[in-house]
Amino acid sequence: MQRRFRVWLLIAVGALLLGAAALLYSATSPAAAACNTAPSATSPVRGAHQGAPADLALVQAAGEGCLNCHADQEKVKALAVEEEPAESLSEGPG
Amino acid sequence: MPPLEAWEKVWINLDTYGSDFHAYIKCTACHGGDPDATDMETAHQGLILDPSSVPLSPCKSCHEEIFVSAADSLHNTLAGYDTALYERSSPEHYQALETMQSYHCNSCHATCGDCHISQPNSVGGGLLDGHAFVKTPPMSRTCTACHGSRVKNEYFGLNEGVLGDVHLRQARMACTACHTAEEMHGMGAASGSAHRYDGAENPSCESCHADQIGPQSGIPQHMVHKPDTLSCQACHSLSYTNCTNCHVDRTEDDVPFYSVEAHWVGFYLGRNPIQSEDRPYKYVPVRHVPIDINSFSAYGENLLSNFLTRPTWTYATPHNIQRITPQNQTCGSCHGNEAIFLTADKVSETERGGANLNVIVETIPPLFPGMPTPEPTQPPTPEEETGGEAGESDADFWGSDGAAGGE
Repeated sequence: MQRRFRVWLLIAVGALLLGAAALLYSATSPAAAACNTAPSATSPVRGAHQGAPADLALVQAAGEGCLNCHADQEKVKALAVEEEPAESLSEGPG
Repeated sequence: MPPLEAWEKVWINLDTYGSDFHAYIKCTACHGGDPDATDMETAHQGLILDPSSVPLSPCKSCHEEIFVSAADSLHNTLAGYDTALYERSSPEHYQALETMQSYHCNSCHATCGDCHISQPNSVGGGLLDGHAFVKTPPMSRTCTACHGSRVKNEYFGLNEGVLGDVHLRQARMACTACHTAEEMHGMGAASGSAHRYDGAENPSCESCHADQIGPQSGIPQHMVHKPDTLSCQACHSLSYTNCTNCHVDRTEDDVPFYSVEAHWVGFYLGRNPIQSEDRPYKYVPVRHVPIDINSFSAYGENLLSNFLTRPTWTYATPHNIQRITPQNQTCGSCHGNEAIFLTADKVSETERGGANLNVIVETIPPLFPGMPTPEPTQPPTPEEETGGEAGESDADFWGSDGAAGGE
């Protein structure tokens, strides 16, 4: 009886350890790291034009310093440089 | 399509991007660069302009199924070009053709970002909507920005005197109404295609018009012609662009360019060069594709050593569908009307051989006694059409620029 109890105990502990390992892996996998909230590939993603305003403070934080310039229309107007288009010698419908 | 100014290309609009799920992801997680820098030059060091174009694209992290399929789709691999070019060439020339393609074709690869975030690079790039991720790409700023000279001109009615497609004029259908996301991402039936006409028709007219096909349709013209005689486009499309050839080269500064000697708008029915169970039609519209035996001679001699293994007049699906067309008004508009069939005299002497022999119509369908030949009426002009005019559409439909044509 006692032996049977030990076997069950071993199985239960093993299952717990496996579960913990799986949780740890999913939290540190590259996919989870790149997309913290990790929606599945087919789950509906709340996005632009779907009336889901994000917390702008969070957006600003995610943007690091980039948005200081790139979201400032006056700044990008002042800093963006028109590329000199290479002269095209192409003729006819492309 | 009006060009974007330099600042518009890189301005992030927090009104749109700020309500996008992707805004929670750090800019540098996708674009690299130095987030701690205080000056522009240092901040942009190691910048990845189009993160979706790199092998370890961040898109894959969340959208793996679509990303993997799209990477193998015709939009990304351009396999259709390889299929056509290699068939006309031989293995010893493949390397030279690859070099040619690296200059003249590779800017056409479409990445995730090229359709969902920015305009394609081939038309100058620039954000579509302030870096918001646009689920359905806007037609005139993405689809027809690349598919311009043939599809756009046909669909929008920009070929002089030729009506635009009824699906646009009257039903206001954008490209994505027929060309589904599944097809665009190389999924399902489009998976692993080596050419856009591989396999079953996708999209097919039948998917919407099934009850109008065949003897049970009640449409006299459809009842007398077996469904495998004519493709839908054979009777329902108008004239389209044909190009005599196209030659590519580079300047001394390595800037690629091309030249098309001549092009014209015309309509020709030929024998179906890719007749199969999926496309059983005897007659289909055929288009002269922009190629001749010397198209790539700047990259080596005789690169198209098996030039006529593939026809120069190819299966075509013009995008200017109408219910009434010049060739379907009466029996006599088609039967006995040599002008609309690709007979040998319409094929240049140098191309009158090889696979073109499978396309050229030797004997046109005769006009049998008793076939009605009433005086053909002219098809309606754009002004006479009651459908919506292209330019009247709202901005969202066209893709935020509010205009159908003009670049």
